[in-house]
Amino acid sequence: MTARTTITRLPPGGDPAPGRVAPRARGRRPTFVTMALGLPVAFMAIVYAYPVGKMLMKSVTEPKAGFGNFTEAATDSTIWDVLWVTVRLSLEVAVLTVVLGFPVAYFLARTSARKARFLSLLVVIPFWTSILVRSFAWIVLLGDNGLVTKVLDPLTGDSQGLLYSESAVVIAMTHILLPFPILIIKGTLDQIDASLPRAARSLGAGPVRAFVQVYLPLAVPAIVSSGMLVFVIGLGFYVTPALVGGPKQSTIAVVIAQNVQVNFDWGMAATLATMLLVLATALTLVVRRLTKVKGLVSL
Amino acid sequence: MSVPASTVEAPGVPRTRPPTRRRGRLPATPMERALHWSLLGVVTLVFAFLVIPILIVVLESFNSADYLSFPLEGWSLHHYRRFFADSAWVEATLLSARIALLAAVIATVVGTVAAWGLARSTSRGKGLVFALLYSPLVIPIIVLAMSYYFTFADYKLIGQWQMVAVAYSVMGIPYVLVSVSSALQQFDPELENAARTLGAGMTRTLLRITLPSLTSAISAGALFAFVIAFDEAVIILFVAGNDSVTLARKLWDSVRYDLTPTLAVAGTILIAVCVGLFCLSELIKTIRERRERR
Repeated sequence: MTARTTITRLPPGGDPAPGRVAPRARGRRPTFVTMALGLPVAFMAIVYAYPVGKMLMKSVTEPKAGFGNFTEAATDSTIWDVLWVTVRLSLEVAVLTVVLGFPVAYFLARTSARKARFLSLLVVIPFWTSILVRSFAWIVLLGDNGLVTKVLDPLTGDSQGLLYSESAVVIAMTHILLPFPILIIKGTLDQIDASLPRAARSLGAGPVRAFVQVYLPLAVPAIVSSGMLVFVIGLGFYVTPALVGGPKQSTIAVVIAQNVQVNFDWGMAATLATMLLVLATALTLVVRRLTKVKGLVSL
Repeated sequence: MSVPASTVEAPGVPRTRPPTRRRGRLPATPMERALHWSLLGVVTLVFAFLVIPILIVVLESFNSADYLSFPLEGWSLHHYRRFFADSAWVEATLLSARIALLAAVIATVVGTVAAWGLARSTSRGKGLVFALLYSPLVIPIIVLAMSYYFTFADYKLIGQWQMVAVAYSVMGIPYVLVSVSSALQQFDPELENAARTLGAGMTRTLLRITLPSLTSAISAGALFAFVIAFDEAVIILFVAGNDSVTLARKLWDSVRYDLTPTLAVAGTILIAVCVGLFCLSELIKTIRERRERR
């Protein structure tokens, strides 16, 4: 087991220890491995890297070569407004999802395994449901005849729905992204030794102190990284702001789509998409150092 | 546990469940009891927040009124009849299924082959290969949508459902890759060597030894790839043209122009397919776990 681990269980990209050559397994033809890597890479190069590269090129070639699009975007105050709206929305959603997600993750990690498994379904089923359908649900709920409006009506004395406002977008995006922090934080909390807070209690700490000083610090990396993940995903949101929000909630993705569909300005669309891609990639690299996204797939 | 910077998961570390938690004793002090109940209250509210919107869509599809209203006017299958009598909706549903199937097949083949290659390769470049195959998961979808829109427009491919499926397969590959990679970590490569030593060719070894032990991981990845392609609602807004109006695309158009309970039927079908497939993947997982325990 250990030998196997040291020889072939190298992390992708990890180098063997210096001076040691990983022995080639007996009789394995390296051509198979080369092909198994080469064919997928060729596929990705043609149907993924090429289109993305083409899009990136458009930002500096359309309508004419040069960085004209970038200077135009940087000097356009509406673009800055849009960027600010996008960042603000994502930030609000990131904070809300973590604040709402942590108690649920904590509860799921502490309750019995069987109950946790059943309750996880309630988290995972929305996660598997189309973003479009969930945005549509919030249109129904927040519209003038919607349930939320009717419930809030006597409280606010206002029969207008929340739809097409910033609150509507934040609520719907929070609903859509909430499963991420729950599942990521739960994954970390599952690993925390339950005897630690108990030990703190027996040493005289109160329940709050045992939680804040012993338990919570162990969960902080997962809290921070899941919040950042939600923030990054939120930056690229298109469907929800476009359907649930009004013109004031135009995010960068909405403006990209407008440039293509309304203004027919491919160069500007490509420029904004490039900026979004750079921002999201930079932040993702930070997140990746902090988190494992693996748990989301093997739910 | 430190995670290597070049990878998202920690390979080689078997995922172990922590020792079974002891059920917490009943809260003793009033303070603890208050904390316990407030936690329970918050958790209940959050679960309600998560589930109610999904339930509302399903309920609205049975509304007898011709407009969206809550509480429902009455129960009826009226809108289901209307949905299935409308060939545009039915064709959109079938097209979605066809695209998702092709996308899932491509993603599964490419992702599985790549996962095996990455697991067996000792090359230095494999971190880059992993990053390339994994990156569609983290790239904003609107960026992918622009990329495919510009490319399809330049090559006159807009509206071709096969090309839409190819674009979707790219989004499914990371899920297949991660799912199969983690199964390969549990798989002893010496089994492959043993088969080879006993005279089996490489192809035969892979088909008879490696593949059978990966089936549940492969099917889990394939289901994910299918669901992603079946649901996708951003790229399709740009590349559908007139010929590739999928269920999600038609739903999008209708949400913008008329809000009727027929939309709730379309939404319910999307929910049912995805939840059904999720239950299927849970079932596969349970069977696999039971087999492993034996």
